[in-house]
Amino acid sequence: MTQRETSSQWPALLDSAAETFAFRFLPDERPSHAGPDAVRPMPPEIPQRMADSTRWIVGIVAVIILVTGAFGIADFFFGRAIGAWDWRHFLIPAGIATLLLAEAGLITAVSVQDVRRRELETLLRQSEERMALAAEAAHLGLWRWDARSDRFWATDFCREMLGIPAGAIVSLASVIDAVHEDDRALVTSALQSAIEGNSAVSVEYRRRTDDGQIRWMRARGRFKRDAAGNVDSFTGTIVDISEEKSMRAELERQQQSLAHLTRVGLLGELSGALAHELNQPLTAILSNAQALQRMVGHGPVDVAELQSAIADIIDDDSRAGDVIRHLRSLLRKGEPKVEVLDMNAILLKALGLTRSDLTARRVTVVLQFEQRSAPVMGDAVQLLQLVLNLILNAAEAMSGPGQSGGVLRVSSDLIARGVHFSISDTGPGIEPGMLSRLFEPFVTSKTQGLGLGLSISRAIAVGHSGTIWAENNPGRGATFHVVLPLASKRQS
Amino acid sequence: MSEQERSTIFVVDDDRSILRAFSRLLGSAGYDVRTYDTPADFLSKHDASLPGCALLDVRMEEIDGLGIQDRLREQGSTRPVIFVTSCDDVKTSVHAMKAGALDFLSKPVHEPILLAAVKSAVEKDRQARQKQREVDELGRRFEQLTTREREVMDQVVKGRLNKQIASELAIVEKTVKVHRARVMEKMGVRSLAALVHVANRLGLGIADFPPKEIAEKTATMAPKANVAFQR
Repeated sequence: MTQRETSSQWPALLDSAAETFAFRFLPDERPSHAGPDAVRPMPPEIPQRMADSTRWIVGIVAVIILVTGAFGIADFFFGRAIGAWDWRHFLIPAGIATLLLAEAGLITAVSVQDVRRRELETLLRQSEERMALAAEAAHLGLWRWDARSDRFWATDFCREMLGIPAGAIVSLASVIDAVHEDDRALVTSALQSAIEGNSAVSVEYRRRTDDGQIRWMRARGRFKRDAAGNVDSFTGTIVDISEEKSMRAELERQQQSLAHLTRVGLLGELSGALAHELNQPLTAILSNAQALQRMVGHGPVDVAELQSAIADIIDDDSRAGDVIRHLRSLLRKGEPKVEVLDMNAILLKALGLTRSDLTARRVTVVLQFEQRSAPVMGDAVQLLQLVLNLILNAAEAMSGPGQSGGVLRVSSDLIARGVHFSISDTGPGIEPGMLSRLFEPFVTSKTQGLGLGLSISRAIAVGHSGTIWAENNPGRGATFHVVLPLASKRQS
Repeated sequence: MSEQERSTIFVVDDDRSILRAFSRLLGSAGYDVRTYDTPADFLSKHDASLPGCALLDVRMEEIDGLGIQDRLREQGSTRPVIFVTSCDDVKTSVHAMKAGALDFLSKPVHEPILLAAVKSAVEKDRQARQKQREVDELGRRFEQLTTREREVMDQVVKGRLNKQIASELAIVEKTVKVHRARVMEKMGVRSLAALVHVANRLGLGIADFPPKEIAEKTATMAPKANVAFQR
């Protein structure tokens, strides 16, 4: 590529690089230039333009000199020979000399301009190299696409990232072709909407490398329009975010494992209660079946009684099945499944699972649902875990030493920010010093437990784009609040 | 079962479907069944006069809190109580036994075990009632004794001889013999030993038993000692 191409790309590159680095010196949305002032002593096109006009002048002057010089020399020799020479004829060589001097001056000026231009070009090249180096250090590729020539220019690092061989001339279409087939539609639609909306593009996509690996890329760019409003160029940056992606995935995986582990721990805490919940229907089923056996074995059969016993068996069986399903869902180590859920139903489910535990701790439950349903988007298991955590915490707070039961208030309502639910206890409350650190991992006031319950709860709430906080009640105990975004009708 | 008075089983469980299942099973085994949601409900509606036992599924904390046995005793009932529970650990069972459980079953309960436990509890209740009836009968008989007869009976069961009683009560020995015969007749016994037994069951405390005089007499008697008690 020529120096000229480079220099004209410079401001655009600075624009998008600045955008990427978020070096915004001005409050408006037009990014300012991030590079040192020396990079832009004047608009880069100007030296070139000046040199062009000077060449024209030099050319015209040279022609005038040649013509007048020829006339002067002819007059000097031929005028003397025919006696028509006059001193005034010296005016012509004098003019020639003046013109020669002027030309010399002009030529000097031109060469000074030229030197200046070279200096500027060097400066530009240097700062381009610096910029490319800085961009490379930040693992940032810089690129520009020119609409008229359909040429895709990129820094060496950028070419390397995109797998473009050095020296190859590529078009935008071939760059888009290199996008993974599953993401191609996403990329083209992002470009389309950026052109239509005249906005910046930011898109994450996969690229299959020549050796078959999948790399994640994040491209950002902006279309530039010429005076007529046609797309003139498209400049931007590109980053390889494969490591970031895999780290994020790893983090998510670990978070899930941790959530799963704490769920298993939660089940340990609930085991007595769950055994009771399972034993009840099983006992009823067994006794009903054995009663049936006796009824059938002895004397006349009361059909209505038989039918009602069988109906009871079926009901109790499905009740036991529900308990097992909940157990399994809590034990399963699966990917979260996002669906529209009724928060009230989840609260009731958690209360059902903890019912016998709460009875044992002599905790009375007060329910307060403002709306019949509170739709949220989320994973049923995770939300159940969140609620179970809060309920068990509250129950524990009310059955510590010197405590004998209390009131667990579970309420839900719809507020502007979404679905709000709270779980309130009448225990000793939270120490003021603990209040701010409550949701940090390994912070616990219990003698047993890892102190992960509330940090997992917060992770779940945040994972659902929600918030969780705790406060001490004006009277006794503490209240935990959770707000989750309301599931819109469109989603349901 | 049917020949005897039907026994009533009082089932207490906070789970309606368990109540229905138990009442069906116990009903098919020939018992009358009454069901209650809570121990408090059971205690307030409990009819102590009905024979039978109670089958309770309650949290141990509730047993503590209510003192089921104490409350039943306050009602003058010795109703045997079988506890049924989901938590069959040692701690809970010890707890239940301390609270006065006749038996302790863990859920789910198999029919033979449940019915055997219920049967033995009902039998225990029957025996207790039988005994109570006998005591009541004896008490009724004792009420019929005159003051003098009671005094004589008191002396007799303490092992005093007729002569001693006569001097103690300042009456002639013959009169003592008449009173003594009336006491034996009214109390429905034919031997001194039986009378002592009756007095014992009525709780007419015997200070020194066997009475010193009898003990001495027994020692000096031939091997057929028991005959000496016959009059």
